[in-house]
Amino acid sequence: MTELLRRFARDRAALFGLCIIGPLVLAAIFAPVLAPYPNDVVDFHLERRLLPPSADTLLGTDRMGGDIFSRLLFGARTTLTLAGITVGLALLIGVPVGLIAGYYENRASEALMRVTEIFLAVPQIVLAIAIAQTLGPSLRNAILALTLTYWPFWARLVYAETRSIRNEVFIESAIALGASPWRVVVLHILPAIASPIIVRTSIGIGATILTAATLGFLGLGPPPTAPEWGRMIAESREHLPEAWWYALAPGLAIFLTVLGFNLVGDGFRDILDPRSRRGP
Amino acid sequence: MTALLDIGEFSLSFRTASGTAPVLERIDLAVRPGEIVGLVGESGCGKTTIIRSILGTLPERTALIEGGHIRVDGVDMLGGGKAAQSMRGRGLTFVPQDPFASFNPLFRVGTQIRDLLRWRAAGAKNARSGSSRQIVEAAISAMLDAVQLPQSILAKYPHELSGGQRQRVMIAMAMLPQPRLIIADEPTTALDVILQAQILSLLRRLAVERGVSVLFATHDLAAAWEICDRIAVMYAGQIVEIGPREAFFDASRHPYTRMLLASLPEPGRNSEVIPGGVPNPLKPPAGCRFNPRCPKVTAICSEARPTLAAIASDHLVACHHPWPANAQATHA
Amino acid sequence: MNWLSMVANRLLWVIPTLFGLLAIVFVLSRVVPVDPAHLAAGEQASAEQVQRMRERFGFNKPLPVQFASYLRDVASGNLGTSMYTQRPIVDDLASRLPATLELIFTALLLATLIGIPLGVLCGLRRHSWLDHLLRVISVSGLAVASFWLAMQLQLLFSMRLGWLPLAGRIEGFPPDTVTGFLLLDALIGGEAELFSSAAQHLALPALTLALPAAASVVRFMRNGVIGAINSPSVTYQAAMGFPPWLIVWKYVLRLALSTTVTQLGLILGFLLAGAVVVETVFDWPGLGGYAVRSILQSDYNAVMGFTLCTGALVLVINLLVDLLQMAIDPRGSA
Ligand SMILES: Nc1ncnc2c1ncn2[C@@H]1O[C@H](COP(=O)(O)OP(=O)(O)O)[C@@H](O)[C@H]1O
Ligand SMILES: [Mg+2]
Repeated sequence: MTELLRRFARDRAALFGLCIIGPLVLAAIFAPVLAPYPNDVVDFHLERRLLPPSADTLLGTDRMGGDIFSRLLFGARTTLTLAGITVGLALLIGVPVGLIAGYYENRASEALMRVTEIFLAVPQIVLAIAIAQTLGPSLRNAILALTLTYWPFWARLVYAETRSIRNEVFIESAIALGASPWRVVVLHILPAIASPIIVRTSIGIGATILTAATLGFLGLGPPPTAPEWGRMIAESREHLPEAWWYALAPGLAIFLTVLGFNLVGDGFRDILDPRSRRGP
Repeated sequence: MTALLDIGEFSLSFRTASGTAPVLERIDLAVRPGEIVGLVGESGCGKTTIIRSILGTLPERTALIEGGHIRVDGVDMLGGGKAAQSMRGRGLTFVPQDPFASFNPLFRVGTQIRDLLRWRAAGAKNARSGSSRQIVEAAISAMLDAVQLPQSILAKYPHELSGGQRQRVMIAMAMLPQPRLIIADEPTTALDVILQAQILSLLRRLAVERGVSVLFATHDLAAAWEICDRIAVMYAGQIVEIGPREAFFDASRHPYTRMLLASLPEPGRNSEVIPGGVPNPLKPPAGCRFNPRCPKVTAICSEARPTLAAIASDHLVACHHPWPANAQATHA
Repeated sequence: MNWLSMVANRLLWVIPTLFGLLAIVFVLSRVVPVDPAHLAAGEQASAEQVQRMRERFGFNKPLPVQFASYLRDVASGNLGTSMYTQRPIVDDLASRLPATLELIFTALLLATLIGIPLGVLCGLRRHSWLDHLLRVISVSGLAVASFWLAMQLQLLFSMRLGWLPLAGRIEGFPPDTVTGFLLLDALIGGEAELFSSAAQHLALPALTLALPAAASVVRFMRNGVIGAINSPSVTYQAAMGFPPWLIVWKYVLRLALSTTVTQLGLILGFLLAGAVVVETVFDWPGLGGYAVRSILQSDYNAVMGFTLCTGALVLVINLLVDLLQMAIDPRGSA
């Protein structure tokens, strides 16, 4: 374990990823304290709309005169909540489905995997837009829409990993010794396939943040009272090219956040996945 | 008679995450023209590392050559010069341990053989011209007959061949350039016992017929005894004994060789296990590396490394206290 | 498994998959809080008008009956009428599919043209400054939100520099339709000006779409090359004195390509998803923009039609990719 940590610490890229995610989480938690204008989430200041960055408003102001920096901090809350809950729920659905379908080799498990393939047959973003639009724009509905579109990814990953170790000696012998399927799955299979799940979870959070931002961009994310980076970028479109700063900060925020999770995921992959650990 | 393969005082270390491992220490080994030499030792003793040094396929970043020389037909193989590069695939060829992984799975067997001959084979400089292409095809076809493979395998992909067929192709590829020296690294460990015997006798027959020298690395003493003229025994990165095949089994002198022989299963005798374990490659014992496990150990064994010295004609031993020549009975 | 039985097995699954897809979207579209009849009749419609709409579209019947009659229509090639464009959905899709395909294939071409050589170079010169630089760029390329990248490119190249058009697919009347790909049609018609206009309009959307795809091609190629170089077959060839250029450009390249091709389906799916957003930002008259607008306007027949069309497209693409992979790798897909 300490050896793993040491190897992770040697991976400069992964550390850099942590250096992005750490402060981001703190910023999200302490947004009300850190934000210079915490009330700008709801207040209008029409007298200072569309001001370029200055000492007063670090990243400029938006079309309602809101301080972009403050809204950005609250946006981190929205984004992290959304991505965290979505990935958690998608794991809760996808992992059991993949485990069951992978453990039993029968028609039912085949059918189960076909269902996941149906979900994967259209671009996820389209399903997410459709569901979000149907349910109406809100944070809860965005989470639901993304969860419903993302669980098949985990189901398929877990299914493939389970199948690949299903016939290994240590699984077979556990079954031969009379362990119940439940026991075999939880005590033997799940720990053995934990690494790829952890790796994908980190990268999956990045992907979810991108899709969530796209929903926001199309006006299907949380309502304007919960600042959201994608929506901020969409709002800026009418004010280009004059208000160049408007979309800059939220875009970079999305970029850095996703980058952070991807780098950490890569770092996990290097230390956890023996297949990628080839030679010097 | 000068040696075809000449390894002298060759030492090599690997850099690893937990330190430098002195894997080979002052290796002396020679193969003369037309001779089959067995390089025998437990797995992990450094056979493959010696072979990779000769073939120039050591990992560049981690392998550290500490000294000594390796020459094939007088050409220095360590510097990575042009002469060494043109020796490989012409005067010097190779039969790998894993005949499956050693093929590129995406190309037909025939393509891989022809590429070897087209770009490598001796005297085939203009092999791409029409007439010499026919010569190449004739040579391939004759060689397939010699290794008892049907011509049809040329059109097959590696995964369509059986393990034995693959190793026959490997032997054919090693023979085709008409080399002077073939290096075989445990060529039969991936095969079952019956196939092992067939492949080994094929290798020996072809080598003898064509007067090619072979350096044959194996962990299997019995296999070495079957096909070799001389045998060199290694322990933990040191050569401990070199002798002719006959003298070797009846009159081996190094305690490790004796114990290795005693550990062979034989009817009417229980095989004896050598006490102790293989040393840690990062911190091998000083002096003779076998000393912690040796029944005849004295103080000098961990102080000075015994040099490989002639003890009879053509029989070399690196030991401070070798068994006397007629001591076979006393040990068993 | 030979390729014939693979194709047969796949085709067997096409119908159930598309059926399942339609069922999901159908249920989604009919359990809506918004009354589609209301939307179709318009804001100021009277209750009577709404009722008439309901009857005209069959919204008053039970769901399974509606679904069955929809399926019957689909089987006879009728996807219904778009409530928004008032045109048959089949026509809408047919006119937009080539635009999306042109965009996606151009992006794929760009991504491979950029990604393969760079990936090979990185794999060969592992740990060089170029490798490190490209690693940073490719990891970054996968983290950028495509709509934001699109807007930044518009800001720079269209609004500030004025080099490229802001949006749309062509200036003036398009060339005579032969393939539906404007670039090809302009070439066939010999219309240099239209060709250049089409190319200029295509440049930014294709680039936006291609950058993340190129980033993943670089990664796959790099890892493929490294894996191949460390493989025993390459070690064997080096030991046998095969010339380095032959090893790299014939044997290693093919190994790396074969691993990259296995990811091609993934990359194409990625491009298709990206097109949905990119088309919206660039007003590209393709399927993606159509889907977003249909969804936002609750034009459910259009959404169903789009789903069917992309579902079929994805299945066909996956099938083609698998066939290509079988052609490259004789071992076949296990
Ligand atoms: N690339 C390497 N890096 C570090 N150590 C290595 C490397 N290759 C081999 N070794 C070590 O060198 C020793 C000899 O290995 P090897 O030559 O493969 O033995 P053999 O072929 O006799 O089984 C072993 O202790 C092995 O762990
Ligand atoms: Mg070995």
